[in-house]
Amino acid sequence: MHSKEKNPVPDNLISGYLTGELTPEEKKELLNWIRSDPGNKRLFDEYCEIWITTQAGVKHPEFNFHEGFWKFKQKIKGTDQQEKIRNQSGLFRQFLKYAAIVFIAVSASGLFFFNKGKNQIKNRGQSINELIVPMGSSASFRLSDGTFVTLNAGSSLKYDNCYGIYDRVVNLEGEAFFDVAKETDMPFTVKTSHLSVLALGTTFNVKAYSDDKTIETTLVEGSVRIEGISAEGTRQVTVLKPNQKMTFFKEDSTIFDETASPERKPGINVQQVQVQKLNMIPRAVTENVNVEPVISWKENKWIFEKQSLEKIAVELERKFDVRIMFETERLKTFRFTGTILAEPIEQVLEFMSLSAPINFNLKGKIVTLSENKNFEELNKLLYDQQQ
Amino acid sequence: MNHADQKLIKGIQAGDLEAFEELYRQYYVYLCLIARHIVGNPSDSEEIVSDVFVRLWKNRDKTEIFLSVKAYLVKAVHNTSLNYLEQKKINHTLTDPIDNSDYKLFAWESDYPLGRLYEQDIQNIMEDSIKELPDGCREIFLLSRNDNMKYSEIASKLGISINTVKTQLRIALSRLRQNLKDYLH
Repeated sequence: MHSKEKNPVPDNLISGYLTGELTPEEKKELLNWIRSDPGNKRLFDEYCEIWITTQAGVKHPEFNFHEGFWKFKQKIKGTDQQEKIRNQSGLFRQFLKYAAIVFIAVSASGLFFFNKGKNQIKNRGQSINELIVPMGSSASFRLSDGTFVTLNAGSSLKYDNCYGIYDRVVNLEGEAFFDVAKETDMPFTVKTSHLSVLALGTTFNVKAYSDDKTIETTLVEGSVRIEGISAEGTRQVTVLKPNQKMTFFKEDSTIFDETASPERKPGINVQQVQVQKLNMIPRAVTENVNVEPVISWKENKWIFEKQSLEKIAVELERKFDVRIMFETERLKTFRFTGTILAEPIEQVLEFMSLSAPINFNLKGKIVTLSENKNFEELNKLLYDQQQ
Repeated sequence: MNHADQKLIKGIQAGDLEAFEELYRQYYVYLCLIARHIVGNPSDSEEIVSDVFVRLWKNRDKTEIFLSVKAYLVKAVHNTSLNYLEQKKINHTLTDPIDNSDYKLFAWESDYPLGRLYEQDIQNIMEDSIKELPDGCREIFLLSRNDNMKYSEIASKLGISINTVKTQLRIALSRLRQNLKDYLH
C-alpha cells in the first residue's frame, strides 16, 4: 500500500513497546505513527493482542488465580445475603454473640449503665442484641464498627450478630443520635416503625417514639437517604442535606409543623423555615434547621425554641420518669424558649416557673402544672394567642 | 455460544461459586495481562480484574452475556482499566512526558474484538509458530516472554549486542503475526 511505503511499520518500536523497552522519545514516535492512520492503530492492536496471548500460556507468578479467587470471596462476603447464611458457621456466630455483649458492657461503662442501675441488655434467642434505656436515663456506646450511638430515655436499639460483618442494620424505637463510622461499601441503616434511614459516614438524629405522632430525622453532617413505603405501596425516598429535618407524620390527618407557624415575638430568635408538603407519603422537609436544640439531649441539656409545654412535658416524662398533669388545657400551649441543664426535676421545674407563668407541684412521680396568674406580663410575652 | 459457556452463564446467574472459580481458573491471568497492558502495574491490574468479578457477582441477575463469557470479561476489564487511567489522570498529573490525552491510543479501539486469539486451538497454533522460529530468534523471544528479561539482560546472557536482540524480537513478532493474521480478521 502506498501509505505504508510512506510510513513503514515500525516493528522495532512496537516490539520495544511490548517488552517495555521504549524511551519516552520512542514512545512519542510510536504514538505519532499510531495516530497517523486508523490502519496503523489496528495493526498495533493486533500486535498487542498477539503479545498478550502468547504470554497467557506462560506461568505468571505475580498473577495467582487461587489467591485472586480467595480475595474475590472475601470481597463478596459483605455484599450478599445468601452468602452470609451459607458461610457463617454456628461456632463463629456464637462467638460473635458474646463478642457483641462484652463490647457493649465495657464501652457503655458505669457512667450510664451502672450508676443508674436501670438499663438492661437483653440477648434474645440466637442472634438479636437489644439495648434498652428506660425512662429517666440515657446511654452512649460504640458498636463494633466504631459507630457511636447515644440512646435517649425510653428508647431501645436492636441489632443482630451480623452487624458490622455483613451489614450494618439497627432497629430503633425511641430517640438516638448516631455518629456513623465511614465504611463505604456497607451502608448503615436505622429501621424505625415506618421508615428506614440509610447513611454512610455521617451524624444524624432519629426520633421515633411509638407514642409520638411523628418520626423526625435531622441531619447534622454528611447525607442520609430516608426510605418509606407509601399507602399506595410505592417506595418513597427523601435525601437530606446537613441542617435539614424530615418530619414523617404517622397519620396523615396530623400534618402540622409548629416551627412553620410565623413568629414575630420580640426577643425570640426567629428561624427561617420552609416546610414543604411532599406527595404520596405524609412528610415534610424543613430547611436550615438549627440542629443544636435537636441533639442537645445527648449533652444532658435541652435547648428549647418556642416549644410548647405539652411537648416539653413529654420530654420531661421520659427524661425523669415522671407523669405530668396539666391543670388547664391552655397550659399545654404555653411556649418556652431556653436552655435547661439536666438537673433534678425539682430544679428544672423551678427554673421553668421562674421564667414562665406556671406553678408546679411535685408529689412522688406526679407533677401537676398550673397557671401563675401573677405572671401577666410574661404571660403576654410567651403565650401564643394563635394556638 | 458454546455449551460450556451456557453452563457457566447459568452458574454465574445462580450465584454458584464454582462457576466463578472456573472463570478465575480460565481467565484470571489473561485478564490481568490485559489490564497490565493498559495500566502498567501488576497490583493495580489485579485490583481491576477483581473489581470486574465482584461487579459481575453483584449484578449477576441483571447482567446479560450475549456473545461469550470471555468477550464479556475482556471488554469489562478493558473498560475498567481505561476508567482507572482516567481516574488516575484526574488524581495526578502524569509524570510521563507523553501527552495525557494519548494514553488511550495504547489501549484497544472500542470495536476491536479483543480475545479472539485466546482459544485453545489458536494457542496451539501460536505455540507451533514459536517452535518454527529460527533457533536463535526463538531463544531470544522465549527469554523475553517467559523470563521477562530486558534487552540488556538477554544480550549479556547470550553474549550478543542489544541491537541483535531488538532485531530478533522484531522478527519473531512479525512471523507470529504472519502465521496468525488469518485469525485476526
